[in-house]
Amino acid sequence: MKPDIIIGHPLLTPAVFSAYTERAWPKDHFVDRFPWWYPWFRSHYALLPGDYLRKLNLAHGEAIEFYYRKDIPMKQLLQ
Amino acid sequence: MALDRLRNLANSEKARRLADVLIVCILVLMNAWIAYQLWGVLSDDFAITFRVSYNFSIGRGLVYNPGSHYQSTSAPGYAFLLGVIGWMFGKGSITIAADLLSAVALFAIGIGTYVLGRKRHWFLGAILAISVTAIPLVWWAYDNEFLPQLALVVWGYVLMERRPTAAAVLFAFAVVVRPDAALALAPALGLYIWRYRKFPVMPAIAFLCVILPCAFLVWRQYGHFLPDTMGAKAARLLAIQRHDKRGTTFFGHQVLQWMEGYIPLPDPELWLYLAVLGAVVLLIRLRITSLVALASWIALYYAFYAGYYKVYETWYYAPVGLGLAMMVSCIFFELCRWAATPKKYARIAASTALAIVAVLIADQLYAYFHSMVSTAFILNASTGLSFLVLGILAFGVLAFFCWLSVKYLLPWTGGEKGKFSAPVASAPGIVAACFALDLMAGFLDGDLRMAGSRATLVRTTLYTEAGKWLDLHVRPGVTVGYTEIGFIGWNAPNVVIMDPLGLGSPAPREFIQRAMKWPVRTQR
Repeated sequence: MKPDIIIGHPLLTPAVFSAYTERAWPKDHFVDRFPWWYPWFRSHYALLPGDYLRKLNLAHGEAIEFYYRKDIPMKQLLQ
Repeated sequence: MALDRLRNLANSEKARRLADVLIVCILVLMNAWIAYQLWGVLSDDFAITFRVSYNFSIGRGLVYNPGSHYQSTSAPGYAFLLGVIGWMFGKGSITIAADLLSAVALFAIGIGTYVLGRKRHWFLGAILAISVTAIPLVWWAYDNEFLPQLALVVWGYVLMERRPTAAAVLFAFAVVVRPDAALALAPALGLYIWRYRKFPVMPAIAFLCVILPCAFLVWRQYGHFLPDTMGAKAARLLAIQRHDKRGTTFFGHQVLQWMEGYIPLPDPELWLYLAVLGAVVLLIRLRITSLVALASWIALYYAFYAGYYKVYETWYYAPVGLGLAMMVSCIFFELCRWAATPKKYARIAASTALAIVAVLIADQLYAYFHSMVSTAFILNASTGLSFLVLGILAFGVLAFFCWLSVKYLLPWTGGEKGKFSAPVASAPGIVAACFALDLMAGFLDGDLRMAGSRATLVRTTLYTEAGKWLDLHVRPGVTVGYTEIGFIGWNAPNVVIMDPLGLGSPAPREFIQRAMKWPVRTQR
């Protein structure tokens, strides 16, 4: 079961959430920063556009990223 | 003659009564200071339980995600209690209640350990109570369920001898607060049967009267009895096994694993189990029997969680901190007592002091070179900017304790000053100073706990804002995933949130169970 929206830090690997798929267990684990399945993750999730991010007042210069599932229209997820 | 008078005074009823009053006053002051320092400082995981409590308070059941039947918290009883408070006084009262409960629990732990140690000697009880309260390892658990659970277990052991039924009720509540307290039953039951040669029927009935209704309610809510969080612990274990022990912070464990390449060794954990068991045997040998049950429970706890590598991090330190405080207090007390026989004293004191100084130096080096990994085992507060200040203070404390132990403590405990050299006589002082330094480091350094550190506060702010944003913008029914689901979940109570460890939802758990070769349990 994949989440519709994923929160990630650029360095704290947004790809951790491919752990929701069975292929991540037990071959690899979530603490990998750039695991072999990162391309798979990017093919399923897209970065949320900046308009949405600007609504979140990012604190202390630390970036936060929202990814959403490519197979669901963004407007169905957010309001 | 003056020394004899002092010694008699220390062992008199008057001194004992004075100590009782003084220790309560000291513990009240210490707890007030700790509560002031740690008030409102929360770790992300604690907020998972708070969200469960909040969901309960608004009628969604004792669950993390609305509509699920998944036991996301390891502490159902604690979450229930906070949930009731939240239902009565609103969402804000949940975190305040957690702070208050921890403050009361830490005070109760201090008094309870004093009463246990006092059965041997008030002096042992006093140093034990002060150490337990002041040891930073115990503070890791401030605001979560560990301190209330520890308090219930400690008071269970206090009441075990005279009021076994009341003790059984406390143990039952400890199990309800957090089910791993069932480990505490084994030493209590064992000691009861060994002492009275019979099974405790009435205490067992009292225990079941509390446990069975709670178990029924838990079963009705979730379909089974135990929390679903062990899978997440197993996932951490997988991470550690695959990534060169990245999650392991106990330096001794790493040393043993480096040695493995050179010397044929059994499982490194075995040495740690043996060390803990040795500590229990030592207590029995020293005839500090009132603490044997507590030490046995900590040994069991240690063995249980060492298997998951959980005992080396964060709030899982709390019972280990209690064990460490107990060991140091007992060693110090016994060193003082054995001062009467110089030969024994010199041998034991010198070797203990050397061992402790060696551990502290090794620990410092480890913390220095690996500080980016996590906090080190002890003296963790002295590794930051405060190192210089603490270094200067260290010399002062060391000198003061050496002077104190030679001048007052040694003759008072029956030792003869003239028969052996002052450096050897000062060994208990060194032991005490090392420990006092660690305690002081924790007391002075506000950044001690990871939860209170600047980096974590920045992260907490970010998570809080992200959670509020999600609550405003995410449509109902949409699932959101992140690794740390505490503050985000707490600030977005209406959003369904998942994490890859399987704390918030059952989806990833089956993969973990398969990877661990556990029987896969499908969630209803």
